[in-house]
Amino acid sequence: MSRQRTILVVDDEPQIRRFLRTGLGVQGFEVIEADSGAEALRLAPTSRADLVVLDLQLGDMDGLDVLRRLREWSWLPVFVLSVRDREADKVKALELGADDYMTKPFGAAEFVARVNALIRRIPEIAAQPKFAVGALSIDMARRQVFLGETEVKLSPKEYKLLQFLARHAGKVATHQQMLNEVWGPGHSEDAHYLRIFMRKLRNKIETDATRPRYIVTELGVGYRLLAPDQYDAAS
Amino acid sequence: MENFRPLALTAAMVLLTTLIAHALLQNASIATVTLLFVPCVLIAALLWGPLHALVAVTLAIGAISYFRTPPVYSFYVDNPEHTLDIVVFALVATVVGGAADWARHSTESARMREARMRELYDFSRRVAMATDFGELPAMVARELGRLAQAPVALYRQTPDGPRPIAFDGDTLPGDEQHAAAAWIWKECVHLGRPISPRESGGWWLRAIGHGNEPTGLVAIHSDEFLQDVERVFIEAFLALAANVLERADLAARVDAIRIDQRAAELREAILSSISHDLRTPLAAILGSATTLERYGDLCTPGERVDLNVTIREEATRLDRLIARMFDLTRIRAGKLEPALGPVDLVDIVDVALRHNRRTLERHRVNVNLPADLAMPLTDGVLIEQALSNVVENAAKYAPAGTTIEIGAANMPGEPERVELSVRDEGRGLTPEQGRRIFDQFYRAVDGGADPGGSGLGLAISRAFVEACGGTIEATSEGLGRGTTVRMRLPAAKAPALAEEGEAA
Repeated sequence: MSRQRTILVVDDEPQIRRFLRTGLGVQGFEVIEADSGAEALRLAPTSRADLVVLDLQLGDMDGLDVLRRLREWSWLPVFVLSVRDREADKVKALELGADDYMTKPFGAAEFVARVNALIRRIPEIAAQPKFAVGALSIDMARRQVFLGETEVKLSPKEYKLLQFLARHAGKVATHQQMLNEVWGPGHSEDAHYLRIFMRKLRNKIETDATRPRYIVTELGVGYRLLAPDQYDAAS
Repeated sequence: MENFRPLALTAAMVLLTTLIAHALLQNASIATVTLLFVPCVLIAALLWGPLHALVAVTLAIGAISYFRTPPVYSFYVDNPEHTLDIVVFALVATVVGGAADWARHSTESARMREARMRELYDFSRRVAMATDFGELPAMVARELGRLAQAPVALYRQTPDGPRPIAFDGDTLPGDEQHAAAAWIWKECVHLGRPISPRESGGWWLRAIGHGNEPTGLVAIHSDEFLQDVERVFIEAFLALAANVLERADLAARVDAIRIDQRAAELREAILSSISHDLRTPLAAILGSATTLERYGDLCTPGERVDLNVTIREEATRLDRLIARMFDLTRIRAGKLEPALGPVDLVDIVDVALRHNRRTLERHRVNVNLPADLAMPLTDGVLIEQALSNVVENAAKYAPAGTTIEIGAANMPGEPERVELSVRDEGRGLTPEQGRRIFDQFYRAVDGGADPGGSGLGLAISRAFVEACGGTIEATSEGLGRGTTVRMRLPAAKAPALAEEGEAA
């Protein structure tokens, strides 16, 4: 890697910051710490950070508000941390433009792997006309999907769904985002359509549709098409 | 015209007797002839009551004095002996008629009393057999409506004052009756004394009960005041009904006390169990960490790894425990508000298996989900947790190397349901264990063999499944023959969806 990547860690718990700093530090990241939302918003524009790790529960303000303010001017990748059982917060964070989330408590190894993946992936995928993971490959220029050598015939809606997931590969797409994208804003409530098309899509691209390997479920939040590094780590 | 028939028949009977007397008893004495009319009076009294008996007597006297006593064909009787005969006849006939009527009357009311007694007895037997006390008010109302042959309502005390809680018939009491009921309730003096229908808009209101305060109040919509006979039975019935309701109240209060007691015991159990369950992993963590801190340099690399693994594993266990306690608090606080939506069971099963990857390492897992599986209308997060607990339980209690089968099936019917099942090849359950396995802190195995469960997992599963409108049950073909846990969830209505995107 040519230059040292910088990560802004926003958390009001010093012991969490300490362990994140250690874990990221040994991986060669430079770590800047903010212990409050205000501090984070002050540091973000000047620190030239490549990624923000943002805890949703901060002493001075709601992490979601920090994210909202951040998104007013920046597309900096944001990795959200939250405590368990707050699916609604996760969904909100993703819809506000968070790139990934993780539930506390978590292990250092998994955290560092996700940060690495996020930093490597973000600039790449969106620009690429082709996406491949495992045996699945998508040629977005030709609108073709392959499983190994075999072309998979998808209906236009199924393709649209897969394409949207591929554009956001590695990230969680919320139900809302998928419904808006594929069916249009008028159908954001029709979760049933989404489930049915997801089932059809999985039947075509997964080896065992009951144990999906490419499109994994984030219950209560959405779906994630695994990026190659995530796929390799999972299998 | 109905009312004239007995009258006409009475007249006909007297006329016939007159003709017979005229034809056959030309020379008989007046006293003998009068005797011939006694049966007429008797029959009239027996069949139609005292009025008709009186008519028969009058007509008979008329006929005798007109046709038989000289001067014939005149009502005038000049012989004092004949007058005496007729007077004696009148007396005898009236007494006989009266006695016959009394006999008729008492037979009839005896029969009615018997029927009513049987009804009361039947009713008391039915309420004695009722297992659901909540149904009793409805039973009382139904029975009272049948007895009174009128629309009835049963009032009971509610937070908003006395309100009708059970009805029979198609007329319902209104605000006027509610106000009257509230007044009776407040005054309490009317126990046993009805308010006349005029005072309450065509409704007969009556408080029932034996205590200082009415147990209930009945309202009968009846234009005519109940007849005396019916009143007696209705009073008897109301006394019985009051007993029934009081008994139900008492049972409910006993239940409430028992539940309070049980809750207190449960709190005790939770506290001691929680402090034990929390301290065990904490002790391991603290011990391992201090060992590493003090003697880390003296340990072999292998020992250091072991200590670190212990810390991680015990911390994970602690996290799971805290998560469970959090779930439990949410359940107890009634804060469980499921976010219902159509969910694919494929997703739920997949996530649950991913969550339990480590736990399931030593088992074979077969997933068998039909392709046409309907989607339940449920909260995916809660059901996944419920399933996770069941799967974890199966993995914990079924021996290593055995198979855990996860299946699902559509259950058509009204309402349509989807069944999710987990079958293990573990030690199985007795029917008693199957019933109690979802209770808090219930462990089917005795403490010694318990692989570290908190006894909360399945209780949480049940709470979550039930919060989503589903049911959960555990069955087993017997000890040593595995256990099957089935969750049944309401199915979502499939959207009208044509093949390609009419949804768009």
